[in-house]
Amino acid sequence: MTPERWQRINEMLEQVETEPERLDELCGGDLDLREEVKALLTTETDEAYLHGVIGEQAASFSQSPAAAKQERFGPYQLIRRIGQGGMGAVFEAVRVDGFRKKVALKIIKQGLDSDYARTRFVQERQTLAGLEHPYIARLLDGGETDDGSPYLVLEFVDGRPITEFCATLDRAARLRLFLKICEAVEHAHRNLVVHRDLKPANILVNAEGDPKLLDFGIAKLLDGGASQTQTAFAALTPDYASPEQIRGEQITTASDIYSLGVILYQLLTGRRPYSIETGTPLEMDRVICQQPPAAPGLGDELDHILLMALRKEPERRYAGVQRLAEDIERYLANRPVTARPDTVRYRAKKFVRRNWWQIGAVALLIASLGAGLGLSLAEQRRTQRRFNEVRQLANTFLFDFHDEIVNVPGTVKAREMIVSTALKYLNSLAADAAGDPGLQWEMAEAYSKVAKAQGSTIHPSLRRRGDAKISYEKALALARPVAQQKRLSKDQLATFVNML
Amino acid sequence: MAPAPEHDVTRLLLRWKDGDQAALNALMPMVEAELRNLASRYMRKERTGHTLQPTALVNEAWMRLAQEDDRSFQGRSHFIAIAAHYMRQILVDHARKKNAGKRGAGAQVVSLEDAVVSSSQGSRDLIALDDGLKELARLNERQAKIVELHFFGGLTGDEIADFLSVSRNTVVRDLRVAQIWLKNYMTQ
Repeated sequence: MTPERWQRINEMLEQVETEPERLDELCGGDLDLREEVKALLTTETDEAYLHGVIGEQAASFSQSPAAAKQERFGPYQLIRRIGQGGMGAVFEAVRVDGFRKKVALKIIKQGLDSDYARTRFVQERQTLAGLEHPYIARLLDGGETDDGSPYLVLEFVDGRPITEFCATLDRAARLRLFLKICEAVEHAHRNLVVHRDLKPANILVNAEGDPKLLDFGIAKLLDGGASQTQTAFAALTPDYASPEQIRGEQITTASDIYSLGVILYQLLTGRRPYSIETGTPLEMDRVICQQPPAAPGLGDELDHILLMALRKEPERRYAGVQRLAEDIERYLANRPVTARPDTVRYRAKKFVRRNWWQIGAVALLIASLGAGLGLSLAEQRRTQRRFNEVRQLANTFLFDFHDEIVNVPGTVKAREMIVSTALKYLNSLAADAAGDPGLQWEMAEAYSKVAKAQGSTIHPSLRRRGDAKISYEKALALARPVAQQKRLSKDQLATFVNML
Repeated sequence: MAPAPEHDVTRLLLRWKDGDQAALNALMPMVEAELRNLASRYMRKERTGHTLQPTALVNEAWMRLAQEDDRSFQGRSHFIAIAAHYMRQILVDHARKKNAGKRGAGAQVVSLEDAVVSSSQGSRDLIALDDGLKELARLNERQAKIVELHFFGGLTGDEIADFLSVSRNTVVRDLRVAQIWLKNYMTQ
């Protein structure tokens, strides 16, 4: 093919487009030419083809070390990517201002979008940087890129995940390694830092057999002070999350103890205490907040230790990491451990859960009562006695039962119904409450319970913060005048304070 | 009239247009550095759900370096012409390295992440495109240039027509023919 020939083909292509029958004529017997033109005529293409070819390579290029080589973060130069987590990518990096120190640089996906977030980020970093312990990976530095992405510079840890490292160790050796981890967690707790995301992937063990805990408190660093949001929840590793974490409640040192329990369970048995299949909020609620963990089968003492760390209620777990460590030491020394199996009281509570369907039926009954209530309240007011009866009944069942079944599987719909019925009932009652402080007070309590129900769970269907706020405000509006009249009993005062 | 040039790039471009070769030399590394920097920013922002568009990269490089809008139209097209050429070079180099690595030739250090990303076919496709463009340039330089400007630089038909001082129709025709020829070449 010469440029001239190509030129001729170009011209022919144009001509043949308008007059396809002239193809042979234009070729003038040159069969090669005819073949070439024909081949081109039958080639179908559009812009997407080349864009695709180029785009794919561009994507590959942008993920390669070559691209990373150019990136500088303050005095740190990226070398290569070493991982990709829920919160962003991790790189091996090196200082280029004379210290030549190898570090891990973690770029946080979510940006800092307000001055407040920025300040908090810096403050939290200060706290975490102050954590100094041989078994905790140090937070060395941090900063923000010019496009608002925060990054953290951490001690570079060369080690294997603990689960891998333990594969060749016997039980006693695993326990002793675990004790070192407890040391680290306890140190952090004494410095008022909660890890919040303990899992085997965050625990590396170096060649000397020393553990290094990664990402201490980083989950909180990213929280920005907001309470557990939907996005934060989505990034959670459900396998190691505590019930309070699932429910969006306060994370405390007890949550770390729970996670330690799951990790130890896995280290000793090779399995996890629960298996999450679909990862839906409903399943997580059922499995982690309801289902008892699978029996470890390691013998009474170890079983009790594990189960105590894994208790659903934070206050019933070990009071501190030190207590957990001590029990393990006792076990290793063949002394009796302090962990005990479930008590009668606890089992009684379980009764409620087991028979929830009966309770659910009653709740439904009340709910339908309540529906009727809204319509004929005016009539019912005429017979005061009946009014009081219904009011009492509704208060008891609507709210007490809600609390009982709040953690029972399959009751989302029932709870929703209860909440909306309760509101309807309260709203219609509100009109009649004026002038009756006792009633007003009762209603304030009721509204605050509804608000709690509206705002408390992780299920999207019941998460209506805005509504919760409204209910709370109604509660306060009702409660204040009564409080001011000072006709309060001690109990009432306590409730009032609680509501604030 | 173009506004008084404040920024390095614009100044260099104007000097290059006036025939100052040195200005072009000074420009090259800035362009390349900016492109690489941008590519890695894309990586950080993890837009790898959908394919990264080099044309967007080139455009952004212009906005960053020149810090101007389309007032200096000529300047931008010139810049894009250079950047597009670089973009092509960067990507082809990368594709060739990957391809060489996979065949076991040369001691290419590949990180764990690297291996995951592109298919070998993708690399070979781009290499074929590059070879095809070189061949096309031999046959008709303008057509190859137009492909580069459009697919690596993101310039529109009008912008290309203006830049090369040809009619829009010519550009449209050339683009069509070139694509057909390239696809034919690449799929053989």
